[in-house]
Amino acid sequence: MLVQQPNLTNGACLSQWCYLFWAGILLCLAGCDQSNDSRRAENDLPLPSDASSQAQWFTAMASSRGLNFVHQAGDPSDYFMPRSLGSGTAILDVNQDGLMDVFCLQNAGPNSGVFHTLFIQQSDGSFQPADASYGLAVDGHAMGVAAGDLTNDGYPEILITGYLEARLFLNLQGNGFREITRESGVDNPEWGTSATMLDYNRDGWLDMVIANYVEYAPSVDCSGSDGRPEFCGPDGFPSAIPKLFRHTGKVVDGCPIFEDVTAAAGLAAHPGPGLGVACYDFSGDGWVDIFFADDAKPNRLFVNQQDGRFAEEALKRGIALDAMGQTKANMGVGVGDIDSDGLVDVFVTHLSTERHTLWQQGPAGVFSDRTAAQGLNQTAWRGTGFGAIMADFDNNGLNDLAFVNGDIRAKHGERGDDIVASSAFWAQYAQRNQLLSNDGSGKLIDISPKNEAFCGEPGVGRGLAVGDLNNDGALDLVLSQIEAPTKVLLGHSHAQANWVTFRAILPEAGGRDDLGAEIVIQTQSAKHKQWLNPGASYLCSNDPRIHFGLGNASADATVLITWSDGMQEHFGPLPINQFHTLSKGQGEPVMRD
Amino acid sequence: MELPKPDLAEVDTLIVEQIQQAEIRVKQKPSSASAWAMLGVVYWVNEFRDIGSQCLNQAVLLDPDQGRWVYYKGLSHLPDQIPLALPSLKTAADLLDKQTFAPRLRLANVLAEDGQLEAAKPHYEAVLSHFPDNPMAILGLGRVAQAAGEDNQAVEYFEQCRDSIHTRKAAHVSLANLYLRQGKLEASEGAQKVADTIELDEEWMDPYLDMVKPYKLGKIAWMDSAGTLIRLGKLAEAQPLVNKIIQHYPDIPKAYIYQGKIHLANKQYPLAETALRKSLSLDKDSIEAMVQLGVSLLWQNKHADAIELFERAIELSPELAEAYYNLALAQSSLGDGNSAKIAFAHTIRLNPGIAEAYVGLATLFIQDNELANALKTVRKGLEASPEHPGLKRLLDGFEIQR
Repeated sequence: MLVQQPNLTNGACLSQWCYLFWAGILLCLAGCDQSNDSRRAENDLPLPSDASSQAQWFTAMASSRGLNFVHQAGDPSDYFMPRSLGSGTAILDVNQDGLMDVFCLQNAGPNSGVFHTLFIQQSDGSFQPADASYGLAVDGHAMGVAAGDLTNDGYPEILITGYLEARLFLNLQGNGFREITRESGVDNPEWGTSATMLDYNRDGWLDMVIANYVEYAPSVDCSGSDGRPEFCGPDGFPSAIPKLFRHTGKVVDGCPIFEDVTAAAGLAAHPGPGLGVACYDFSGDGWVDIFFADDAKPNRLFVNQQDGRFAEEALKRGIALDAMGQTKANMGVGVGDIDSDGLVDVFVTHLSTERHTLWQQGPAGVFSDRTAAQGLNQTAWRGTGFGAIMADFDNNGLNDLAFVNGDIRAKHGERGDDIVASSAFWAQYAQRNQLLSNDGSGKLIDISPKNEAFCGEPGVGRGLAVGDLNNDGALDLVLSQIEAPTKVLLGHSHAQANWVTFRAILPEAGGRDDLGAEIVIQTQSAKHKQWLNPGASYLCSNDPRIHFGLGNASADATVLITWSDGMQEHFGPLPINQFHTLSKGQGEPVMRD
Repeated sequence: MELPKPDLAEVDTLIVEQIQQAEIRVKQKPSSASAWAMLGVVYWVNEFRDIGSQCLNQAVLLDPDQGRWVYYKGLSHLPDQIPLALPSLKTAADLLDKQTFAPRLRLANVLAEDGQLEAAKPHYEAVLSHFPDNPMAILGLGRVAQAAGEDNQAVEYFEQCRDSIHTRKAAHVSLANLYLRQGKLEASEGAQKVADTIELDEEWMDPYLDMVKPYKLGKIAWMDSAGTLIRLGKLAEAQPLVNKIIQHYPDIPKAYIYQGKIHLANKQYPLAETALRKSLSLDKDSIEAMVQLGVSLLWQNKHADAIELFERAIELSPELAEAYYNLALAQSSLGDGNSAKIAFAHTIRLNPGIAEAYVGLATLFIQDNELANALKTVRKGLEASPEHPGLKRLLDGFEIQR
């Protein structure tokens, strides 16, 4: 809004502000390995037996497994904008039993009595919803979720973002949660979307970053091009400022204490309509940076200055705009190494009238739009993409892409009956998801038409989280949809598709996952690199373990890990097709030049 | 081809009237390409794209050598039906090459935006063969070269077009990226600094597109245009359009907000107040109208009335930092420093980037002789905005005192 500051009359002191504003060698100790043989046997999926099913990478998990959640967004007739952006999901191990649990958010509003649900995985692979006494059954217009151990006790805390709030829940060492928002110093009276955790100042404590969207005014009515009422877009509302909460290193009565350093860190100077966030080393200096995907505005990349401050450098580094210099509706973020060159690449989803964009890094710290070169504009269909995951779903050693679609503008009267969304209203926004396979020659091939389970049914897809729910070495997906059941898609085992999965933990920090660690593994035939951060995608938090597809590699793998503080260690050789825990200080230190 | 019969029941009457007039021409001269083209344009620009395309196709069938109709037919398929658009755009470019670069440049840009960079390249070159200094074509060739990894070539192109008003920002942004890639850190910083000073590149003129803009009618189209102009600060251009909207649609609350904003920018505060009060009478819950009206009242020293409006806005949108900020200004003007302190603190909580709020809060602390709090506030503000002159001045004051 155009706001002018008037002259003030009561005192000379005040006249100065009368101008415009707004204007390894060691394997982890015995017992750390989670050989997955017993868990694999529990995978009740038959191996593909015919040509058509072999093409399918995923199968929907049976409802008998108990993970039955239906998202609710409340009454949409008021076109309250936060309803249209959906809610996310977290894959995390709340009780540290080695089995991933799933936390699903609701968006029906405060005092709706429609509560978020934590599904705790049981030893038989089924899921049990935690009851209200577990402390997470709260309601609200919840959107994003981040998970990470903020108390260095080995158990992940949960941060929930939403419309005009962020709520932090302390993990009572696997015995439930207690809300600590106020006492921890977390205060985000904004429209929070995606969030993640990181240790940006290398002090051994996880900090938190929240992408905030816009300064929405619910009384503003919007309409589509046909004049009918429609959810507003970000245009017309001031962009919001993200929030960075620094962990003070204090834990008082079990409660971590944070300080809002948004302004001091340099983030307040760059507002933006943030929807996606990802924290990786995007500049090549070894320090974690912050990337925001901004809706209809240039993306922002805050490069860590290693002194507590960040500098916004997205334009210069080539990741703010696409190859044509255009701004897109940037939403979900998929992060990984798509071309196996050891550098983080970034995939961002956009509207169906735009092209999704793949920014490849190279040389280190500089990005270029390689969407066309990778074949991303040759897809079977187009959609408005939200959650996005870059990972090796078929374990062939190459990262693939999965993303979920769901429109933001209703298609009146153009939809059929095969709609997942539970109400006719949301059916007007339903679209099909997409899955792209990396063929290893630099191209991503659209295999959506052959993947009915993930891509067949239209829905209003928003969140997409990845993890290995059944510990079988094949990645699974959890997909959240507006006013529809959450879908769990179990990845298939593939022939000649080996894998290895790691936890990277810090014993000095209570055994928490070392967000920001980088792992390079070497097999007899190839080198692979991955990074540990469960954030990214859209509104979601992923399995914090690092998964590698290894293709037909048969021998053991050696591991070089760069911990988040820059220290390096070698582990291995380690057997493949297993889970390993890399514990800092247990490997062979690498001396750096 | 029969005249199309879409359901126009909920369509803006201005658009319906225009369609009816175009239909009369077609009925009078059913074999007239221009009559069908007019009908097609009217449908297309007013969001009936499929029907527009059909009518424009009829025009092309009747007069295949008229490049304009072919061009419009191609444009009617954009932005998402690119395979359908490309043949028409190519034919139009061939037919109109010597008159204007627009269709060929449009074709090249559509190909490039679709990732068909190699296919785009000869079209950019063709534009330059007829119009050797065309900065948009040079920019396009730079992007093709950059995408192909031909960095040196790309730099040459971008350096050629970095001074054009149509390509300055885009060229400097690309140069900043390429210089960084080449390890020329200083040059990269320099290019980035120039880019930062440019709000937006000027849109290039497409004479054929300009011809059809007047046919885009109705409150949605006009309000969109007015909103864009106001956002870009083109208030002089926006004013007649806003007046036209109010004349045709006197019940659109947002139109009066636009009018109020224009008056505020022109320092016509009583006029702004009138317009914004009208907006609020049409939509009593409009937060934007409340805040803007409050600002217009502040400028007229009607502080108590302004406070009431800001408080109502905050009640409806509690995260609105600007409402808290303006509330603080009004409260401090009335001498209610304690309330103003609270409102400034809320402003900072909601938006720690507003340096003026730190200045205001610190100043109130100084007035109340709470110097420690004032110094703490100034330091906090400087963390957010290290170069803010007001904050620096206040800090200097503390140091002199010390």
